[in-house]
Amino acid sequence: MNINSKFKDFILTNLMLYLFAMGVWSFWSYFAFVGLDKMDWQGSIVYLPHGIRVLGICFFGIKSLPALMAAELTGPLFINPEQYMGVWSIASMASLASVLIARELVKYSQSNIKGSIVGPIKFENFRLLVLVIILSGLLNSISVNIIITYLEPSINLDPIVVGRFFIGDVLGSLVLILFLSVTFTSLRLNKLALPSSK
Amino acid sequence: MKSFIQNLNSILEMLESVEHEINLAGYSLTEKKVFFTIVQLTVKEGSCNITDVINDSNLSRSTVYKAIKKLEKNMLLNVKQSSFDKRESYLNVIS
Repeated sequence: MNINSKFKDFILTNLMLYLFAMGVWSFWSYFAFVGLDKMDWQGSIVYLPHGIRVLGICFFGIKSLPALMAAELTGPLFINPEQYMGVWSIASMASLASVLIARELVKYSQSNIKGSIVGPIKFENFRLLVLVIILSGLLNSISVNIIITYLEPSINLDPIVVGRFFIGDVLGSLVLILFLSVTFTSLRLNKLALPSSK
Repeated sequence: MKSFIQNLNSILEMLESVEHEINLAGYSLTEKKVFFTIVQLTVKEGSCNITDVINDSNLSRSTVYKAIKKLEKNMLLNVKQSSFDKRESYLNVIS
């Protein structure tokens, strides 16, 4: 692959991921912020944007980071500027790092087991992806809350909030993947999308 | 460019494997057509047999039989033999 082709690949990956991320952010913001009092439901418990981080990093690797970072910074600003300014932007970088660490942990854990039931390391196997979702959710909930508490003294570290973050991230990622799966399957069954290469 | 398409295809393969695992949409268009025909005929006529489904859906007898077998196996349908005519079977949607 020559440099020109690599550059095109990089631009295309980031553009596609950014647009997709912004779409999910807009969708999620509706549930999270718009008419929350009317719905009597805590939208943030299903944090869909975590799913984009997992899909982006697991399938596109480090080259997806610019798009994911841009989405982390502009997504919340675009929707609700007051709530996510300042320390939240730094915390969202920790969220991306937690997905990267989780991915590496999963890769490392499987590399030492011969004949592992979830091996080889291919994220087409969704069980591995679920493992990354759970691990990254755990790391994210702890790291983000520690950063927020450290940088914003008015906020206290609350285990219930950590738990809420974890559940939100895991549920959000699973819902996003499930939604994409059902959408893709329906498109394929109705011959609106080409079947995969299998 | 090729790498981008390969990565995208990996995501699609993963999404397909999720669908196969949980079997949310594991029915073909023909099977769905048979199921919806049975539902519609039951609502319109009050009851429905296999011949009605064949006539209404314009599908072959063997296709309709196969679809009914699968739907019955997955507990979506109940096939009951008529007490008046043993050659006739009534289809009931399990709600």
